Amino acid sequence: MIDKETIEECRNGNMHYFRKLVETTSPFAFSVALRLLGDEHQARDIVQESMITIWKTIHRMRATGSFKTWLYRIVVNKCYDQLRKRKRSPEFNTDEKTWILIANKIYEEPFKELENREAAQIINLLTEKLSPKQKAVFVLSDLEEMSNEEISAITGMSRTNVKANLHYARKRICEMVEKQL
Amino acid sequence: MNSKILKSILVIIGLMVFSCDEPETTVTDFVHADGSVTRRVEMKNKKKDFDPLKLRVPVDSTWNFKDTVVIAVKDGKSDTTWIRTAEKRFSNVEEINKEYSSDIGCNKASKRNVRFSRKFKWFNTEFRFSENLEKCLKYGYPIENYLSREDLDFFYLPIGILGEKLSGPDSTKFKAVNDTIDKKAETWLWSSFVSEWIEEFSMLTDGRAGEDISRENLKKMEGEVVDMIKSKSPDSDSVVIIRYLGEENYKKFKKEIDSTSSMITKRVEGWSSFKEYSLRVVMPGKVISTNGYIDKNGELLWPVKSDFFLCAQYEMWAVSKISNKWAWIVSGIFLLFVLSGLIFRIVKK
Amino acid sequence: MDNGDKKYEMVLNVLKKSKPELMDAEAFSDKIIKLLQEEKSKISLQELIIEFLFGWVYIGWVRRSMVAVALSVILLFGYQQALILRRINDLSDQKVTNGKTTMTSLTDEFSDKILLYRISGKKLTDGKINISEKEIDRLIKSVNRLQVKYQDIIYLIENDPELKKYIEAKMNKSKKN
Repeated sequence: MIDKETIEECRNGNMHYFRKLVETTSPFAFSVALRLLGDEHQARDIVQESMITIWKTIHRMRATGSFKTWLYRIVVNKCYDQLRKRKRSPEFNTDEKTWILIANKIYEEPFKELENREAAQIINLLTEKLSPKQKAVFVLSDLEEMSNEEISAITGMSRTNVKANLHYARKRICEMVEKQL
Repeated sequence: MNSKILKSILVIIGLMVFSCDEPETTVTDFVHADGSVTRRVEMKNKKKDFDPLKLRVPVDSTWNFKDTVVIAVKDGKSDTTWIRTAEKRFSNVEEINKEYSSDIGCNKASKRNVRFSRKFKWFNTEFRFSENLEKCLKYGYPIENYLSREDLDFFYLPIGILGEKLSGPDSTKFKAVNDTIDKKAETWLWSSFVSEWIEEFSMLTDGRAGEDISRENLKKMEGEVVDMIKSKSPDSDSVVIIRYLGEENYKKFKKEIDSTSSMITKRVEGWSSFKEYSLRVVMPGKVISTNGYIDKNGELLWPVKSDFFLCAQYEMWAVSKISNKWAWIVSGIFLLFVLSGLIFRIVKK
Repeated sequence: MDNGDKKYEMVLNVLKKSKPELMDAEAFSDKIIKLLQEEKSKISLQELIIEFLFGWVYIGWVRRSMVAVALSVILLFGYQQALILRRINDLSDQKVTNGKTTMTSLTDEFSDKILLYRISGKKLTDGKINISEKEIDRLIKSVNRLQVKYQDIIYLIENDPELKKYIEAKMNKSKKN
């Protein structure tokens, strides 16, 4: 993701290299944040805060190889905090409309990409019954396509825990999808 | 053995027990942290006679003098004591050693030196002060081989206290103790002298002496000779030696015998003419170890007598310490700083 | 693969294909950099001082060295003080004098100590004597030893009638005297 030189320069306080780092890593961080939170503004805020945190604490980072893990860990932890605060927002569309949207995308327009807002809507619906940890595991594994080891390193859960949470998340979503579609 | 030695030693032994030579002298060394020493010499005499040649430690015109008189009336009789106090500040102990080396007093033949050292040990600074008298005999025996622990305590009593014990109440009891110690000390003395004579004689003859007067054989007969000398037989000294070595050997090695005797006479000259005094030391800071007596004022006291340095170096030493307050403060601040840093890290984590 | 799983896979594929896109990434980066620069200028004096004082805690080798030095200082202090205390305690066995009399406690046996008291003229101070706990322990041990010896002597005397007679005669004689 990021080369050793960039990280070293950032540790030395080089703002120019840090801009490069932000430009490279923000899209990935935004993807995870949006999929977890389901709100674009909140996701941008989270990414912004994460980048500021990284700038302030990059000199504490031990090895360059773990930068990706470290970045995701900061983002996911900030998302957890947000998810715990949140109550069900009336802004989202009702479930029925979302299911229609899903069905439409699967059967009618399978090759057309979803907009950010639409994708967020769908994920929110599918993961509505899941805890923040189960949601995080689902997003990182099935959507971001990370390995169990990576997820374990990011979330701090053991691999067994990750598998268990993932299994539960998939089962719930499967049941929901089978029932509604 | 040379008759001169025998006679002089007999006189000295007689004087040893009730030594009350004047002026009674107390030397007090006030040791300062910078290594300088203020030396105060207090001399007491029944008459106004402080002849420099009779002084125990070197005192000259560069010192500050003060004379006082104490008149005590006892049983209607007045008792006058003249006290001369001399004081001088030496910037370091080398100046004291220099005065010792140019001494003209009665103890000039004894080799004395003073040492001072200072060790910085961060929290404390340690000071070590010692005054040493070099031993006279090379081959003498330690007094510890002849006296028990209790005897040694009595033997090393401070001068004033010993005098009081021997003339005060229970003096009979103390005199009995003293006499016992004297007898043992006499044996020690003669044994040491004879041992010295044997070793020096053996070195001079350097293997030329026959088997009968080899060093080992002479050593075996040492006890006999000591008994002979102690018995104070009317025989002259040459007769003693002839009996000891044999007439033939006496004639053969007369030159070596005379040389040995002169050598030993010279060696004990300083010791035999030594006049005792008391040494007090006041150290900077708190005394943490010493081999002297400690009085109620925290001053250290040693008797300085000739017996103490006949066969072994007599070292009067004391160690004291002064806390380095600034080091404590700096260390405390440093420890607090490190601790607060660690707490800060834990809190931030 | 059952129907549910199939539908699940289809939904996942749609979601995977539609990876969220960060619009105007450059402007976003600019905003972050601007924020950081503003924050930098806002850093309070207090924070600066703290950073200056405690910045070293984040550097591993500096932190470890400082801790090692601090521990060494503590150990050195402890060792020095213990040594000095031991030497001062040994001083209590040292000979003391008040100018008129002297006493030493080199010996462990209290009976020997009493002898020395007698030699040195009994007490140091009129009407008052300072005695340490250590000396009280020694006294008690000495008394216990004396008691044992006394019992042994009594036993010997009791079992030897001739000796008993002799001692009784001597005691009567000394009483008369």
